[in-house]
Amino acid sequence: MNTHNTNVSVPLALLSFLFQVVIVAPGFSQDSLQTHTLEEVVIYGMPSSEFITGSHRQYFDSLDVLFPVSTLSDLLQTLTPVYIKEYGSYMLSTISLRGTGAGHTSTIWNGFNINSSTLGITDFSQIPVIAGDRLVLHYGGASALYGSESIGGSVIIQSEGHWNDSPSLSVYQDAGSFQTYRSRVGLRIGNSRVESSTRAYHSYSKNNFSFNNILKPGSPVERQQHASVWQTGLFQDIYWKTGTRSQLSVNSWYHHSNRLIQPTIANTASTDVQEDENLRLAVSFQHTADLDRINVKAGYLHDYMLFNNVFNTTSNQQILQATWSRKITSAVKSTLGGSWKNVAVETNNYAGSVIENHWDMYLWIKYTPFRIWELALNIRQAGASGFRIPLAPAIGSSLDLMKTNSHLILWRLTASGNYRIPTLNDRYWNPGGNPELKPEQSWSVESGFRWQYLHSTETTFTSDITLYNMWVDNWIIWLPQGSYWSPQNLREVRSSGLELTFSGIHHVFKGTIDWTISYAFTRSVNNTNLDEYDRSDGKQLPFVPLHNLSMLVYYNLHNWKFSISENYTGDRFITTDNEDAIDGYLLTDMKISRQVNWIKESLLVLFEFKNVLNKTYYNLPLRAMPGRNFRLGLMYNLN
Amino acid sequence: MMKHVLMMLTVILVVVHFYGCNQDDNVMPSGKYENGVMIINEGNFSDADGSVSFYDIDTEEIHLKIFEKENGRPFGGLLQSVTVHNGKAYLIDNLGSKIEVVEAGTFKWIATLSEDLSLPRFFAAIDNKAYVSNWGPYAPDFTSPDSYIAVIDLDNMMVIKKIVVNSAPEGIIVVGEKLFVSSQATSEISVIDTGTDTITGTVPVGFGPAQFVADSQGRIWVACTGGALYALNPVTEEIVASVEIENLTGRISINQNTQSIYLLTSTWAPDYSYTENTVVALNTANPDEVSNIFATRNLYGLGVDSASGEIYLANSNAFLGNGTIIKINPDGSEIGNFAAGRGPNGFIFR
Repeated sequence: MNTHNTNVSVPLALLSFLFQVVIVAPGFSQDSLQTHTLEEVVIYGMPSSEFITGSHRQYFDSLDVLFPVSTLSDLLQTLTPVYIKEYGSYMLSTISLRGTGAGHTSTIWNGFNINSSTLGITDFSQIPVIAGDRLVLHYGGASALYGSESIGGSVIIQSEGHWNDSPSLSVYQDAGSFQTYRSRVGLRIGNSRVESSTRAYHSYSKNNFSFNNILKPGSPVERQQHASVWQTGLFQDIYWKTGTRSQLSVNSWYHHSNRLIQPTIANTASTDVQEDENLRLAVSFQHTADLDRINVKAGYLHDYMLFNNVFNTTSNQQILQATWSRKITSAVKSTLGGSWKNVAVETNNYAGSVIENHWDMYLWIKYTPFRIWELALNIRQAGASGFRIPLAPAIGSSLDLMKTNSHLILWRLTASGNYRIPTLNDRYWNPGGNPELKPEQSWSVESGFRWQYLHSTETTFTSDITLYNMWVDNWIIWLPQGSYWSPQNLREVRSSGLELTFSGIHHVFKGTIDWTISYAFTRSVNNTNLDEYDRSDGKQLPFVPLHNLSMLVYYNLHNWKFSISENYTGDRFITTDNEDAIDGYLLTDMKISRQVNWIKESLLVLFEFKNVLNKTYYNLPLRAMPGRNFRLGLMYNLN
Repeated sequence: MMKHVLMMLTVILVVVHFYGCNQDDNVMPSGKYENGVMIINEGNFSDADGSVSFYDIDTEEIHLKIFEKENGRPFGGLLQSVTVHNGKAYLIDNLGSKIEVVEAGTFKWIATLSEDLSLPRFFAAIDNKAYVSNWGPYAPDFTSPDSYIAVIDLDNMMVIKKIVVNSAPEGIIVVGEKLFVSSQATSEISVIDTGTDTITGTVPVGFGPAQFVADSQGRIWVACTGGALYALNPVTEEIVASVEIENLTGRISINQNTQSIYLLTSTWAPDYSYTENTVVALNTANPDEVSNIFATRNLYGLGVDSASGEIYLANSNAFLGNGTIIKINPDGSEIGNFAAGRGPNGFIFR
């Protein structure tokens, strides 16, 4: 009796993140390679950013008109070869990094993991592209740095002060197909000591796109009747340099959204509704002395979700974090830290309310024996009442094989042990939750090369390749146990693959061509058979495409910008035995923008043309996606 | 003279036979799916990949997704049950709340009924009227307070009446002029008069009555998930036999030749990592003699082929992969197995 498949119809607790994510022009300015460290970007206020030696990371920073008001879901789909699972237009979007699941990637906002405490995932459709000033995508396990859920990787968002003397204002408004309207306003005021940044956003879409109902004879064209969405929110950041070497930051974020859940084509009469409300607060104080730096953070994460006006979940998390970094010798730097978290959840999905305390301690050591060689050794031990969490060690190496004025070749190596604690839903869902679950555990090893080439001032070229191997054990899967489902630590997965990125900047005629191609090959194999009749052992996990490709080209000429992006998502299997699959698809998007500049102000007109070839495609079975659609936007900037 | 007449008759018969076979399917349809086992694959809730497989007993070939193959579109729903009546097969979609009607032999689509149904489950028909159990829309707390039996005019494929019944009506069977409906959320079977389409009474049984079968003596047997099997005299509406069997799933099948009844039980493994199932056998002649003939994991349905006596078991592979059909003999020895669709839950032997 399969009437209530809980791991799908479970009211999805979503966390929204606002990202101010922008793409970086890959490559360099006219300066030599040695002055640019695209390899490591030390993020102020984030001590862990210095200890990421050997990892494959992708950085997105600086304002970019390509993604003024989109969500992180759009951005990750366009700029990375990572698979984003979308449950419909503007619906739940989860990430699958290196063949792992939605709950195997942590999302760190200003130092705190904001994955839902109940579902353990992040919905990237709830994170507009103005959440932080810096976005980093960390590929691969990093529990030593970021804690639980960092098995497939980590998405890192950090806000920071800009310290400009003059205030800046940015106003953006667009209108698009299916009655979609999005607005954003940003204001930054301050001086060299205090700064306030306020950003507000609102998006609405009736989302009544037409689709082919392929389940009815003749595949008639119908319109979505029940998929409209809105989201609104506000960021308020304060940065205060309390002394010459100390700074206090306060980052706050309020988000509110409501969605009519787009039904599958099989059940167009469905009337599910979901409302989300989140309040996130991060307070951070950092003080630097000659050899030492301390950073103390306090966080508060409030998440409220209401499903069908009946199932409500309220989660409150309070976190305290402290790190002490010290330069021990000229070649050795280390950081010692600890954190404590209290999670309290009230929901009518559990038998009662749940309160838990988690703690962890970590030690990061960086050793630079020679200028060209950096090593990091990181280790974290976490604990929680009720279960044992494995130790998460990591070792990384980064070696400059060649470093001249025009060439940089870097060799990366890293190996780590990572974990994911079972979510509160896994443990306490009523009925079926299993409090005996153990954390999932993974071991991974990877190696990568990066080659950057600068040819005069006309051309730059970057290529990056990473090969990895990962084993995940005790992977939790939900199984039917009579009339309800229950999770077990059953699955073993071996995931191996390749990440390839090529990018370049070329000066052509009087303009610039900026292009990036990134490709991921992911072989994520299920090594578990449920019983002697199961045919799944050795097969690719469902919904992990073997191939994923992202290509973006844009041409800049005199304040005109024209871009094309192509995104290919390969075939995906629906069943663990790989006997059923859904087709891969290639999506084409184009953008044209024109900017007019005055002394302090600028006006930008942007036209977006999405799904140019009007492809009918399904990210997930029977979840219709929009065909060709358009958007026109206007952006005003002061300073 | 007689010999000539017989010869002529034979020739005429042969000619008529060939003539009939060479006509369109409209006149004398001989479908691909006439002789064999129809496997009902429920599908997975999220992917809505319910489907019908057809297993040819003679060639041992399995044809997957025959609805999609014959009609150019996927079934696209949760296929709860299929019932064959008067040459047509009625496929019940529990997700989209609709019934697809196909020609039973060719599986070519005839009609769809999508109005006035709400979480439909099982189907029983008498002449050109059918009764379908509907759980009704879920209350906010996922109980089913608005359950009903939809009375359907099969000629026009329309719901002509809704009979309100107890919560969660599941199994449904017509015997004579009566319709028996089990209410899985209660301990009652409702009795409906098929002439007036009204409830005439209820029969108390154990908790959780689910599926029915009828035996050769006119009794109907119902498996209850509360842990018992009951035999009912449909005329007197009284219980004539009862057997306690723990952990029944509610699935039941009868070999009409031997009058052996087969049931499925489901319990947790000691470490709770899988469901253990046993196939329980008994005979209507002496139902107290219950034997466990086969044990395995992840079973979701069963059926017995009365012609051969072979028992077909449906292994769901926890809905993560496609299902597997396991064939066993009445003594429990395994004959073989083959791959089917997603979440197989039942069989129709044709």
